Parts: sequence; C-alpha cells; structure tokens
Amino acid sequence: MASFRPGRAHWPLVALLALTILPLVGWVAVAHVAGAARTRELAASAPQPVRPGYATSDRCEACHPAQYQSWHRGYHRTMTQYATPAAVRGDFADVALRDGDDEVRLHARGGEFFADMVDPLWQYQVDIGQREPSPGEPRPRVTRKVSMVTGSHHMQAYWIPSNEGNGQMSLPFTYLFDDHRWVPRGQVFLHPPEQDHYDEQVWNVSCIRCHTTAGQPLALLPGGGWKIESKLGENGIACEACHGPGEAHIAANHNPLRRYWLHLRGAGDSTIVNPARLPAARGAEVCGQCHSLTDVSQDIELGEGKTYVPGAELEASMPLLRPLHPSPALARYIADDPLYLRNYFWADGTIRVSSRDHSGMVESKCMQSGALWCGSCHSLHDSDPVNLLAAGKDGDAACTGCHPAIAGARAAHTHHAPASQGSRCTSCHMPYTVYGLLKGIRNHRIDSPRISDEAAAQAGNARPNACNLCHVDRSLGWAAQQLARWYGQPVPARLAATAGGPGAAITWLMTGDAVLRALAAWHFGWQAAEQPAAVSPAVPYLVTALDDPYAAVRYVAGHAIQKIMPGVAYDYLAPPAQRHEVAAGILRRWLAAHPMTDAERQAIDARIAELLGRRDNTPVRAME
Amino acid sequence: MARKPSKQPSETERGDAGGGDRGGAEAPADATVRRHLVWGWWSLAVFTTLGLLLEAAHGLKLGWYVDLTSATRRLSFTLAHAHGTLLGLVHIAFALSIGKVALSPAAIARASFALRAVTVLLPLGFLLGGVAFYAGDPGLAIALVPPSGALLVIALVIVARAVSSRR
Repeated sequence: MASFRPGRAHWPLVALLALTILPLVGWVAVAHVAGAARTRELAASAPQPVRPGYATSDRCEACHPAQYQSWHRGYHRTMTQYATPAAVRGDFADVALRDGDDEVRLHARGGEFFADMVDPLWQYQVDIGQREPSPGEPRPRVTRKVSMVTGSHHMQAYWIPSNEGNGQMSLPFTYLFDDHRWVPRGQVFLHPPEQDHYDEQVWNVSCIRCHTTAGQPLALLPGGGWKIESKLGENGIACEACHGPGEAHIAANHNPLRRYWLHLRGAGDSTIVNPARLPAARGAEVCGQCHSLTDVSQDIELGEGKTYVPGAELEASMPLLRPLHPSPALARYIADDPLYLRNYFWADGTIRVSSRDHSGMVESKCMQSGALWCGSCHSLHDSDPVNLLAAGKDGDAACTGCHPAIAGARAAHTHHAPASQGSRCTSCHMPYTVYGLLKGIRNHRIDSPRISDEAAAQAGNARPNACNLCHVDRSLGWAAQQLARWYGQPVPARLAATAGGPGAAITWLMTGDAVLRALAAWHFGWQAAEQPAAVSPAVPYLVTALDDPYAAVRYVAGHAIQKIMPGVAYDYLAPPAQRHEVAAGILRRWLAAHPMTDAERQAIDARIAELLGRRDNTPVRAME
Repeated sequence: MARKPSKQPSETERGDAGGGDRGGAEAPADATVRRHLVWGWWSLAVFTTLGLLLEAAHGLKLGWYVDLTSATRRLSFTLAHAHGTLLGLVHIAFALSIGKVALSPAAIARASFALRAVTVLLPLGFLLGGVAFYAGDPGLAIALVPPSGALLVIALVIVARAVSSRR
C-alpha cells in the first residue's frame, strides 16, 4: 500500500502549509505576548480581579451563554472598564482642556490614552491639608496613561494611577456623550457653585463599592494600618455582584449528574443566589446594595469593602437610611451635615437623587405589601439595555397585572383619554421627580399624586406633584381641585380659591431649591413635544434660568429651550457675559414669534423679579 | 439496490472471515461490506443535508437557531451534523477494511453492530439534546451520547486490533 513520505515530490505542499501556518502561529504568539505584557502592566497600575471565591463572568459564559450575552450588552458591565480603545469614548485627539487655571492635555498613541495634567495626588494632598506648597512653588505636572474609565451610557469619567499602590485619581474633566464635549468634572453634578466639587476623587474609596463587583478598597496590614491595594471580584457590575461569589458553584457543577438533577427538580441551586427566587424584599435588596442610601461603615468604605453578599439581609451590614423611619444612624449623618436630608430627599421623605431607586421603592405600598420587587418590572437578562424594563413591562402591563380592575376601567380611573400620556400608570404614580445625570428620572416611590399643605406653601424642597409636571401651565390650585373632584382628596386651605393663577411649574423653576429648579426646567423640555402651546410661554422664565448660579440647572434649562426652540445654541459653561448675550438673543427671538405689549412684557419681568426674590438658595448638593 | 452475487468471489472479497455458502447467496462478509457501504453513504447523504440545513438557518438568520439564547441548540445540532457525517466515513472505512484485515466473524459482527448503533444514537442524542435544553446544558437526550461514544470506541478498538494483528 502506498504511503505518504515527505520528500521532494511533496515539498510544494509542505512549503504552502508552512507559509500558511507559520505567519498565523507568529501572529497568535505576538498577540498573546503583547496581551500578557499589557495585562501585567494593567495589574501594576489598576486594581485587578483577584478576590478569592470570585470566578469572574468569563467562567459563567460556558454554562449560561444567553444570560452572559444579555448582561454583556448592558451598561452594568461597562460601568468600570480598563482604558482600552473599545472602552474609551472621549475625544483624545490632542485635546487641550481648560477650567480656570487648570489645563489638561489629552492624547492617544498606539491604542493607549494619556493625560498631561497637574499631579492629582499632589493636588489632593494640598486640598486635604496634607501638603503645604511653599509660596511660588509651581504645581508639578505629570503625563500619565489613563488606566480606567467609569460609565458608558451618558457620560464617561477617567482615572489615572496616583502611583501610590494601585490608587486611581480622577481626570478633572468628564466627557458627555450627547453633547460630544468635555466638561469640568464639577460641572456635571448639581452642587453649590460656591463650593468646590471634589475634583481629585480617589476611585479606590469613592467608586469601588458599587462600580465593581466585590471591590475591596484598601488592603489592611497585619500590624494595623492600610495601603492602597484595591482588589476586585471583577471590574464593572458582573454576574457575581447579583448572584454572589461563583467559585463554589462552578466547582459543584462540574458534575453533570448534579446539574441534570437540578434541571429535573427545577429547584434552585444552593451554591449560587438567584435573586428571582428570593422573597421579594430580599431580592430587591440585591439591587438595593447599590441602588439605595445606606449607612456605610468606615470598615466598608476604607477597609475590606462590603460584607454584604446577595441573598443576605442588607440591613445587617448596610442599614437603609430612611427619613420616614428614622434611625440612630440617620441621626448621626444629620448631625454631621444638617443639610444631609435635603441633599437626598424631598421634604416628605421621598428620595430625589438618582441611583437610589430602592430607597424610593421601599416607601411604596406595592412593595410594603410584599408583592413588588425590582424584578417585577426590570430584568437584567430579558430587557432593553437602556431602562432594563423586562419584556412586556414597558407599558401599563407592569401595573395592571396586580390591578386588573383599573385596567378594565381605565378612563374612569384616570379621567384622561385612555390612549393619552395621562392614562399611563407611570405618568401619575411614578413621575420624574428624581434628579440625576443632568435630567429627570422616574421616582420609584410608587404613590398617588397628592398636594400637601407643605407643597401648597411652595416650599423649595417640597416634592412636585405629577399633575403639574405634565400640565406645566396649570396652577397648584387647579391640580388640587382636580384631585378633590376626581379622588376626593382634601384641598389645602391656601389653595381653596386659586384654581387659576400662574403655572406651578414656573413657580418651581424660579423659587425652588436647585434640585426642584432643575427638575422643573427638565419638564418643560419633556413636555415640549406633547403640548408646545403650553410650554412656550415658559421661555422667558427658562431664559432667566440660563443665569442660574448652579451650572446643572443652566444645563437643563438650556436643553429645555432647545427642545422648545430648535436650533438655539447655548453653552452653559460660557463666561457670564457671553451667556447673558446668548440669553438675550433667545428672548428676542421668542418675542419676535410671540408679540406682546410693553405692559405685558413688564408684567412678566415683574413676576420674574418677584419669583426670583423668593428663590430657595439653600446650598444643595444632589448626591447622585 | 440489490447487487448480483459474484460466482467466483476472490480471496479479498471472502476475507479471512469468509466461508459458508460461496456459490449462490451473498457471503456474510460481502453482506457486511455492502451494509456498511449503504450505512456510510446514507449517513453522508443525511448528515450532509443536515449540515446544509444548518447553514441555511445561519444564512436566513432563523432566530431559533442563531439567537444568543440558542447557543446550546446551535452547538448540539452542529455536533449532530459533524458526528453523523464523520460516522458515515467510518462506515465506509470499515467496509473497505473488512476484506483486508484479520477480523473474526464475531469481531465483525460486534464492530458492525456497534457502528450502526452509534450512527443512530450519537447524532440522535445531540439532535434531541438541542431541541429542548437547559441554558448551557443540552436536553436529557444527551444521555444517549456517552454510551454511544463508548460503543464507537469499542468498535474502533476491535478494528484497530485487527489492523495491528500480524496474522
């Protein structure tokens, strides 16, 4: 029988194979070596997933491919990433950024991103009083490689190594996706203009707890003390953030007989947590570990990190801080900062800053009845990545499953046309009364619109009602009387005879505290598409808000005007004189389209002056 | 299609296991050769067709096959196609080996049975395992695969030993 023997007759084939295979092998080897070198470099400069018991999501994929893929396309995964070309969305094309006397120069080279800036560790030490620069001492500049990024949905913040352990310090600028621009980090958040925003944030203590999986901020040394050597279960919010450490689960399920036994029984696996199988309140705490306001001990913040694992009782390690259920811990926070409650809550104890949805939900009757948890409407694995609303839960179905009688008599219940926004459950029961990310966000305290005496008094931090957030041109008295007629609610005495009068939303825009002003401004933009005739008269007031002392309010007001008057250009960070000029131009354009007599115009000016005189100037920091 | 029996079967056709009635009816070895050629070519035809259907499912982006949630189904069906096709080749190789190696009639019978059983059970296990499955695990029919694999190994060892024999 003939056999194959390598010889002269076959050399062309051998050569062809060699030419095909050798470059491939070389390419793979070079990529592998380069990848390993990059990994070593990252490990030296940024925290790595090395926590025992945590397996990382890569190892979940083999058995849970669909869940892995659905998580992979979401924004939780990319909350924190290493600064690779795939992750970085900011403009690093030789950009020079300036904020006051701070200049930052950014550039990219060979798939890496660099920042030339004042040494953030030096600046941080000066800011907290650890270092006293001598008079005339120049601020040292450094050029560092950007190591990590935070965010991938609305905006992106960047971190560079502090060169102290694996400490990460913030780049003082954030990139806004919708606006395609860099803005100073302090101008992204709603905070008092007279107070510095903490520009030199330390990622290892301020972000690691919720923007990674099982992050451990600092390494405690055996003899006492600590060093900045953060460890992660995984970067970003990965499988084990919600399901608990997976190493034991993987080890147990190497056995196929065990797996099929579990499949056949249809019961849960005791080696891993499935939040959907937990009691409703306990399941909600899995989300609440990050999406609520809790008492965070120093050990958690500056030590070994959270001891909470999914499935455990959140209250045991991180008790919720609830003004409606005061606790000694909350009293401690208030004692430390008298404005603590205002920075997080409306006057009625409802949460008002973003990412604390669980804090709103726990005050809802729906949840207190035991029927509701986050998974009643949301899903990490069966949803659109933007709002994470589960399939079929993006409309009224999320509510009518438990309230079928209302679904059957919708018009009688809502008193609005069944197909209109006014008949959507969330419009009235989950209005946009949470501020964050430079916009309004639905509040997860599910309740019915009410107008309390406090709200009637137009207190600067009174929670705005859903009626007037839609009907932005209607007065508080009008809303109170509608609620009285339709639902038998008492009308606050001071509103008994005021069905007419100025729109409540304009009053909130002018007289509220900064959070209320921002939310009122946002609603004019939100309603621009629905009822343009109702929002247009608000333009003179919105133009006034373009000069708000809070940058975040100016940003939101500017965007609202752009919705009402497309084509308007406005830069909320421009110097005051330039902003005034642009604002005057906007007003002139609006007046040209809405002619009015001098008397009418003077009346508006007088009203603006009167309302501004009543503005609640309490310094507010929205702790989103 | 029936083949006309040979009047003068050669030594090769009879093989070591040949014997019995060499005149009228088909010799057992011939029947086995023919049987495995039939199984081999039909396996190739069936499982290549399956492959074509799977490629069409890719081409047409059929959700039940290409969706992310169908990764286990896709792998199971692909394995059914691959194993069935390769087993077709094994049948043909076995048929061509029968007259050339020192296989006893009993060994031929055992290997033949094992190969035919494997050709049914192994792809079937993968196919049914992909119809209904549990996330990353195929359905229960996957239980057919390990015994089928063992049968295949047995058949291959029988033939390999015969091929290695110096007799």
